[in-house]
Amino acid sequence: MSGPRQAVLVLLVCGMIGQVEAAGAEVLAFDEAERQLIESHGPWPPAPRHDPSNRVSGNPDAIELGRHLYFDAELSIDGSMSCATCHIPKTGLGDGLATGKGREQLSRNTPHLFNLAYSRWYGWGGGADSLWAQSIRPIMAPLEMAATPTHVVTRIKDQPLLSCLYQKTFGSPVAGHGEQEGLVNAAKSLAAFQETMVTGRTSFDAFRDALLAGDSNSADQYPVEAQRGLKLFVGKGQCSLCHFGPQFTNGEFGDVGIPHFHGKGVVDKGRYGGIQNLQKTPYSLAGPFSDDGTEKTARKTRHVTLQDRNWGEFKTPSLRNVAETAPYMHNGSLPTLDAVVRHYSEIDEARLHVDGEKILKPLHLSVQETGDLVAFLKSLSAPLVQPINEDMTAAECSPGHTNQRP
Amino acid sequence: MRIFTGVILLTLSTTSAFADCGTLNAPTDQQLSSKAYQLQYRMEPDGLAVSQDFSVLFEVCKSDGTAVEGTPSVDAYMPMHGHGMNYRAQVEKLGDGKFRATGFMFHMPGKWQFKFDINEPQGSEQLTADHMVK
Ligand code: HEC
Ligand code: HEC
Ligand SMILES: [Cu+2]
Repeated sequence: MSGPRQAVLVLLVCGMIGQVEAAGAEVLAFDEAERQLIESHGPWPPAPRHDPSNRVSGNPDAIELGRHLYFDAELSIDGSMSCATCHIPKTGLGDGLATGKGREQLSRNTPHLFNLAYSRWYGWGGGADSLWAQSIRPIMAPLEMAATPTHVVTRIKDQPLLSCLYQKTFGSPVAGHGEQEGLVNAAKSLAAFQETMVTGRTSFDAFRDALLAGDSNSADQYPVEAQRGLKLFVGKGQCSLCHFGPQFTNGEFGDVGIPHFHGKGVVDKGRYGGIQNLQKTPYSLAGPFSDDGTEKTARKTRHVTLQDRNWGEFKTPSLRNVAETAPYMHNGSLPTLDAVVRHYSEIDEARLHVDGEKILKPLHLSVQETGDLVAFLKSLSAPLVQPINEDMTAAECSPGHTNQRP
Repeated sequence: MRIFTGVILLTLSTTSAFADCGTLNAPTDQQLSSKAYQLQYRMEPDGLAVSQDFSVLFEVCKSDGTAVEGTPSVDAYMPMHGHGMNYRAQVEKLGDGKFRATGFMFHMPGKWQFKFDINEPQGSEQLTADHMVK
């Protein structure tokens, strides 16, 4: 081979390697322990789950009623706000603010509403044990929608579409139901609607499945930074201990050193207050409004115990779509994923419970490692499987018309 | 009541000696023992998984083959993390030394330790067992 031709060939080969690397065509080696944890973060999507405590869970008419209630500002006492005012479809079903804004500044961050059908507890302190119970809270909260059961029932009765959908869903006009029952039924419809907010498959899910199937051609589509971040997540970072499973949450509570004092001497009791609420609310699964006749769904509520360490513990958030739901933590104090990772990296152990979990310690991540972990967290995003229909005019309700199961 | 049980025990002791304690002995059942006690248990449903609620069916026999008196309690914790469960298991007495504890939930992967506390008039004892939860 003559000199110039050889040079061209070398150039070509180099060019190809360059391209391949740019596409990130590499699969890191994961050991057995890492693979096991990676496997536990799937499969996705999970099988649909219907809530036994909510007899209209999955019912298409209830979902349609819930959709209309969700966007209905008249559900609030003065027509000033709806669920969608704070859980805005366009901004990750949150509001993008550090803490929510009701009639006054609220003290907690507005969480997203993705994949909530699979949660065990609701709210940052887990003060509700079902999605329908959690949906009653903002309707009644004085600083939020500030309504009453009478107001809710009157609104449904007076609005022809809501009234028609209610009757179709529950088999009786709302006027025929007591006010408490009407309120709970509205909340159960809101829950049925929120259960449809399931996110789709992410690039992480594709990687997980390919890795387990030994399909390196597909696995190498996943950027190598995200793979390194994943390694940190299931390994040194120990993130999977709490952000466990397909939801990236174990559904329980923890203290990761975010201050729970807000304002002058006001403390957010976190999980402690949540359990206290569960013990006194009539809307728990152990109360009269659950539709589950078996012991099963109420078991968690009957067995949960109030412990000192619950002070300042908050719900471990699911990390699916986390890149879409800034700012972060129960008080919205961390503006970006980069800030969250740096928080864990330099965590102040003195801030954690004395008898708390010996899990979190400063990771002292390098700049590259921080970037890798952020790249991994960003790979957990995917749009809703079923986009939210915000068109309220398309509604139809007549005795003969049945809404389609989505 | 006590006399009544005593009479039954006396009658039984002459025939098949205390066959009622020690019947939880499927090949998959877990065994724990000390000088004074023999403890068998099984998880319901079988197999442990993170964030899944389960019950423990267990049986405690004394070294002489009779059923334990009173009701033992059961708890679980993560020795490496220094924390226990977020739930308290409730023990129901089934008779013949058998009990069912409901309301368990292991909320993290890793090593969990069951603690069975046996309290009898003649003394108390704790039996422990480790399980890896994945
Ligand atoms: C004024 C703002 C605001 C309005 C209006 C509002 N929310 Fe919320 N929502 C919040 C905040 C703040 C939280 C966190 C509350 C807590 O932790 O106690 C929350 C929490 C939730 C959660 C718990 C999510 C989780 O991850 O556990 C659900 C479900 C929910 N809201 C549904 C609704 C529904 C349904 C409506 C309408 C009926 C509604 N919200 C109206 C601000 C609002
Ligand atoms: C001990 C359990 C635990 C461990 C370990 C843990 N987290 Fe968390 N994580 C939580 C809890 C609890 C919160 C909410 C804390 C709060 O609001 O006060 C949280 C919040 C977050 C959030 C913010 C989510 C949101 O929607 O606000 C992110 C992102 C996150 N964690 C990522 C990680 C990463 C990355 C790691 C590993 C370096 C990790 N976590 C390790 C329990 C844990
Ligand atoms: Cu632990």
